[in-house]
Amino acid sequence: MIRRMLMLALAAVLLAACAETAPPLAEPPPIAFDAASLPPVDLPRDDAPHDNLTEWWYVSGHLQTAEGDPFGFEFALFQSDRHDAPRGYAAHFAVTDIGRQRFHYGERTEVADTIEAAADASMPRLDLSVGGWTLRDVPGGFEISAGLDTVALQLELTPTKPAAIHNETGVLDFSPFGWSYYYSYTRATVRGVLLDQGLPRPVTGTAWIDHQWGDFISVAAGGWDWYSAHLDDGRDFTASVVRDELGATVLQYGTLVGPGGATTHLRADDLDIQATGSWTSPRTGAVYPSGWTISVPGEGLRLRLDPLLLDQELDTRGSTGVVYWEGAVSVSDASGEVGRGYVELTGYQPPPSPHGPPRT
Amino acid sequence: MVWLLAAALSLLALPQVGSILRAGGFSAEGIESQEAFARYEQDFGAVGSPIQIVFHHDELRYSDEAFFAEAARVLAPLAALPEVTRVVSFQDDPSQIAPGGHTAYATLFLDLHPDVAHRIVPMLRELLEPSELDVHIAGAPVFYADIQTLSEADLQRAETVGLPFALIVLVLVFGSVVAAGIPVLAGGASVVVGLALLWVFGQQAGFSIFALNVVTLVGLGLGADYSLILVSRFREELAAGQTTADAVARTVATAGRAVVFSGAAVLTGLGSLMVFEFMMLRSIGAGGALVVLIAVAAAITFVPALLAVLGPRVNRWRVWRPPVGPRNGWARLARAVMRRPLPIFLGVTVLLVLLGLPFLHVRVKAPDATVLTPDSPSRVAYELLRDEFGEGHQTPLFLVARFPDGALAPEAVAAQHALSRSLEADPRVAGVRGVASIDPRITLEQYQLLYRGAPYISDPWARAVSETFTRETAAFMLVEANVPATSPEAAGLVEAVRAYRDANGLDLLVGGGAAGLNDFVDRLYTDFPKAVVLILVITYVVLAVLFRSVVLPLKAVLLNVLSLLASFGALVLVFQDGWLANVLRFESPGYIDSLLPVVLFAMLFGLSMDYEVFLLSRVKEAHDEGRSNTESVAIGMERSGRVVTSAALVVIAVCLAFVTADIVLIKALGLGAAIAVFVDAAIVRALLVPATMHLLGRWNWWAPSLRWPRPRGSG
Repeated sequence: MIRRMLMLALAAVLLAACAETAPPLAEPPPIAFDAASLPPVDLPRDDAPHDNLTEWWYVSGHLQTAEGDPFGFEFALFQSDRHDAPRGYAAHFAVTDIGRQRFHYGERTEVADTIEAAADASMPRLDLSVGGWTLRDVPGGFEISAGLDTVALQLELTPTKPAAIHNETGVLDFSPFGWSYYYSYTRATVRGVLLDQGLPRPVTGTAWIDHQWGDFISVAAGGWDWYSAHLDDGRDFTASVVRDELGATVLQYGTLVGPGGATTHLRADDLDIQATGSWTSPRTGAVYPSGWTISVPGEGLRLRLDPLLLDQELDTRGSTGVVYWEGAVSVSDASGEVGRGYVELTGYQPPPSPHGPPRT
Repeated sequence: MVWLLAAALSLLALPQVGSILRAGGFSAEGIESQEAFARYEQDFGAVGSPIQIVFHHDELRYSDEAFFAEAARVLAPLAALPEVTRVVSFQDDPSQIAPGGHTAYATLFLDLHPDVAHRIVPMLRELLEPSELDVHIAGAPVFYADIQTLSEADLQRAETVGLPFALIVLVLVFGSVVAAGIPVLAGGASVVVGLALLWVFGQQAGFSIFALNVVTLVGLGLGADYSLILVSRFREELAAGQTTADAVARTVATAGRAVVFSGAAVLTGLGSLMVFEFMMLRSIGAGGALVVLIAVAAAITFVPALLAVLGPRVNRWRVWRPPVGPRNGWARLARAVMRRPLPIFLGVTVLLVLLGLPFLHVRVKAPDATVLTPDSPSRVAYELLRDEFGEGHQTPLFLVARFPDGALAPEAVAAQHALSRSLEADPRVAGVRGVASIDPRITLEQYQLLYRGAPYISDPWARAVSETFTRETAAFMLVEANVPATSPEAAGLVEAVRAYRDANGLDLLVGGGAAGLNDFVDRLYTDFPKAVVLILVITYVVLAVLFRSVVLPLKAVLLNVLSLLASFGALVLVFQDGWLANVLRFESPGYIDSLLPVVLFAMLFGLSMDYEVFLLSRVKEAHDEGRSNTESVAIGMERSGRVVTSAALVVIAVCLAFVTADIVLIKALGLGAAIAVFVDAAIVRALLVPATMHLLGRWNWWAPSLRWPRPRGSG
């Protein structure tokens, strides 16, 4: 019996000694990205949200009431997708009352899965709502709805040109920051209602719609200047200048879209952009360039962009964490006013906190 | 009078006992998981005690206005409490929203030490307004509040069941209500005074919540047990024609002395818990030792005083007339055993070893919320969170690292990224949270760019994550396992992370979740052998002094180990393998609470030896009278047989009353004690002791010629 007990005890000790050691941590899979492997932009399917790190829709434009009162507007909606966390959304809305020289803006955030599964899985829908501000697709275009205490908009946007697919395929590889798709409906007719101090006023106008998404991250410092213009001759123009944290230009390019929608890619050498003045924000102390001349010698363009209101600064630290300037501008050349445009300026408020990579 | 006064005063203190009870008590120096927590508090500041207010609705989602407005309404009065220092809602931290969106929680940080935070839970529950959402409170303080509530209910139930049951057994034993009432009175007084003294001594450091039940079980069992021995001996002496005064004197000198030595053995066992660094075990040990002293004091002062007052009236209110004095049946049994000592010794030993065999496959684990009943509010909340968020969400591993060049320096980000990626790829891991685990699509270069401008970080996610998970040179990560924290896989994950740390030269400590549980068990079972050796040595010495023998105490200790082994084997079958789970009304978690073998060994080693001690005392008494070894054993059995059986029945009755407990640990302590006492009284005492006494012959009484302390009188 004693022998048996000893054997049992010995067996227990041996079992403990031979116990399987825990397997080590797993070897992570390699990370590989090949921009060439991405499919081309597929519209209208790609108007809808994607499962990428960052995505945004920007709508900016100019409106006119029946009485001829001019307004500028900006509506931007941001989507952040991080792993298995619920998606984060932010929205910025601004209206520039050009006649009264007043600027109204607001922001909203939401951590929500606002994207409902489409009834037809093969055709996802763009139907986003952030704090009650909405952007959705409708046959032939889009609808936006947003409002502040003093002003609100309900607009229907109907693109009149095909989407301008940037960089031919629409894919931009800006490693190591990541990659993104980028296209623009550069010109859309606008019809809708503006609630001005509670008074509904029918409006019409022209808008610019940008859509960018991909697995990219925002840069730590620096910023960018983004310009857009609707020219009266039917052409649309955009340019971007990306600066590093020291203010040096690291990327500059543009796109010219013809009246029929044909796009011309403009390289850094094709563009010359100069600020003609500056404006200092009394609230944030940020000093922004204010007024520009943009030359595209190859296309015979020499444009002057002037803010229609100096103070069109948005302090959106409550949502995307940045302070930036985005406002309505007039576009003129030697012959006088030749169009209207919008300009966005980020990275002028130290510490810099741009809300994403440039709209390249 | 003194005892009655003490008991009366103690009754006044009883309602206050809850105020000195503390939760937790599982921390000790030198444990990595504890050091990880201490380092976190050093680098990131004290966290206080977090509590989760969980909201659930079958149809509404967290983003529906009806959901979040209702959650905000319910939360408002709780957040306004002065003890609440910070509230993190599910809107602030999306990780607090379950996949599916029907469950979300807010975290309240309480400015209360974790040991006492459970006391605020009743107030929180009162402040919870009725809601169309299902609202639950979860977290460690809530768990401990429920433990305390259940513990007190268990106690009340055990007393309600145990005392009448013990009284019935005593009435059957003595045949007299008065005689039967004395042990009940003594047991009750021991518990009441013991709990009051617990309150007095607990003013400074407090006592573990679990001390309450142990004090009651031990106080009630021993108080009644010892008194029974004394009352029985007193009646025996009266029946032999002694006067009341002489009978009392003789009782104290003999049975009283045996009680003192028995108490010393029990006290040794429970006192050995003081070798552990864990407050929980130390306070059980201290509380248990305290109540043993009280039970012994009651037996040798209170009971004799009562007996002196009662005299022959001790036999009043007869219900029936049981035989008084020794019974020959026990002597016959002893002689029968001693005629075939070897086969009986071998047979019984084999039986006990067989009973103990299941202990070879014991799996000890630190317990989780499943020790509570399924309908306990904190367990309901725990299971809801587990089902909605996954296994590891509530008990994540906690990795605290230091990087001298800065936690967001490129090299530090690279180290955290590499570890995160390895963890994320591991099948045991459900998720990782940290500065380099925001999203698997983000590359190392991107992370390094994101944090390049620190502390000015532009990306809102990266900024929020870095503010949460880093300070200048410190960083931490949370790792959610997809296996239960009590599982071997989770333990393996902890081991793997530590091996990774060592292989990569990281200054990183692993705590929380499975690390905390396993570190606790490891330390517990590192210290356990020390406690075992201490118990064995001191018990041996105490018995050697009592018996003035070298061999007898050794034999007693070895036989006691055998009976404990059988008890442990039965516990594995019942509480690990789930035998009789339906009968005993519990769910087997598939493992044994790691505390159980330790507390049970400490509590039972002395308790289950009682009957052997009482028997051997009587054997020695006969041997000292000049009888032969064999005759002494038969006489000892004859004289102690009935009283030992009765005492064992009373203790078993009291212990079985604790089997009604809702807390599995308490249930197991009750059952384990009942089994051990039964094995000791029925098998060891009746069969093994006579067999081994006969086999060892005169060696039983061998002792080197030392100056043994000579006790006055004999047991």
